[in-house]
Amino acid sequence: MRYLIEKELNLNIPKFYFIMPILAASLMMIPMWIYVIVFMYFFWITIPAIYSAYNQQNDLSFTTMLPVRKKDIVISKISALVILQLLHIVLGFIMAMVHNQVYGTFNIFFELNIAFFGFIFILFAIFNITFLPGYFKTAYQYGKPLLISSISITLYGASIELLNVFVPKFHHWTHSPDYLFLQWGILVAGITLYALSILFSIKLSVKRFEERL
Amino acid sequence: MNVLEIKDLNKAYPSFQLKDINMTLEKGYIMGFIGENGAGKTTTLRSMLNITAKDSGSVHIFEKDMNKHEIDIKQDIAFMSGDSMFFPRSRLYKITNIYKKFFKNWNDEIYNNYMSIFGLDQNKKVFELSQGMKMKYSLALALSHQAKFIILDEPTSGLDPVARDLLLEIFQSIVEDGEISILFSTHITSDLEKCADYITFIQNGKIIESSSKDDLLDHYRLIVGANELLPKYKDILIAHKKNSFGFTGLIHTEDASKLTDVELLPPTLDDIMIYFSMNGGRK
Repeated sequence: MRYLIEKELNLNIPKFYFIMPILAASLMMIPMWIYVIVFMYFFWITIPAIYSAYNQQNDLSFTTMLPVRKKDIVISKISALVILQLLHIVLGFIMAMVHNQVYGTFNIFFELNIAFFGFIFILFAIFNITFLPGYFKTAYQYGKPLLISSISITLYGASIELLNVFVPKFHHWTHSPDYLFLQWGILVAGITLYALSILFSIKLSVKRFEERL
Repeated sequence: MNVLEIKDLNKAYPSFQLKDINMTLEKGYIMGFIGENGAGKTTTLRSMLNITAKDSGSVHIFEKDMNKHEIDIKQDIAFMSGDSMFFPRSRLYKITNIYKKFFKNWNDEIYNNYMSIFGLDQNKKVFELSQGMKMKYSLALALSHQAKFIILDEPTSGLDPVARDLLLEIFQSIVEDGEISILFSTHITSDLEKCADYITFIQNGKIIESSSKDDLLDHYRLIVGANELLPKYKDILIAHKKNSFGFTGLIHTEDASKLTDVELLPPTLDDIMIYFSMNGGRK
């Protein structure tokens, strides 16, 4: 398994996409912005690039001939993706703290607070569930699952921002210091859902990949 | 010992079907797998290696069931495709450094030796190599993990005649000591005339013949005759071509004894492939 993950990180995923989290996170320094977009670049740029690279690299022929279990192939690919996702989230979080120090917390859209990052974890969870099992059905056609996941996460991201702007109660619950407990709850729920999304996508993707082969 | 034994392998796609594929290869020999483009060569190879799921049938490699011992078997085999090389943008040493970690029998000394015999520069990227060099690199990887069975899909496609000849010579030297066996698919029949011991001929998803090269050629005859004789022999012809001088066709050798008024010639592998292709793969 270790070698398969090493293969993903060293041979499969182009180096640029390890710099992308830094570039994307630096967008946190734009004042008064819709910061959910910072994470959308992962789905809009990194994901299509990585999955088209798999096809261009002829990865499936190479990997399926290695003396490894099919299950481990799927787990290694998802693990590498999770490493990238966490890089995006952690660097985004660091830059959000810098943003709040430099500009203060006020934003006309969703502020960079604890609840925001709870919703971001859910954003990644939605992506994992809608994209990965769909992709591993064929392990080379990523267009349709990417379209489904892009629509899902865009609708979700837009809903959070719209609720924040147009539903004062939602804004109050997610921003007021009186509801700090709830905001931490959103973060914990987000992290839990994200972890569950990984487990669920691995389980379903392994099943589909093994059925395919 | 049989290195490969495929029994009744079936695989159906919406527009194509592999039907009851059976073939066997003994240890230490080269088998050529021929058929026109789209006949089912790649699908057979990929199904037997579990790269694509098979619908039914069994595959035994080194007399072990592929479904039960896949990981063990894959330690000792190598599969490479001439059409599409993996990781085109990566440097050879980077690919090797990852690849070797998966194989228990990897030997750096053998690897370095083949890299220098083949004249391969480890710092080059795969796409910078010529087609022939790519195949040599694949072979260097296979031989360095001491694969006992090497499967190649169209290894000679896109090679110039000199590079092709060189590659076929390498194949022959690999099997010389009787330990390694090679199965390679091709539609270039002259490759087989040079180095194959056995030939499996596939047409339209069905195996037409799987035997030694000499037996395959012995099983068929070309007949050449005047056009007015055509109706008389139509039933025994596998397929035929007409021209202003007469007709030429392919028949089974067992039918040749009945013929008196036509000329009989030994066919080439190309002839066998072409006439079977003309009749759609019916035996």
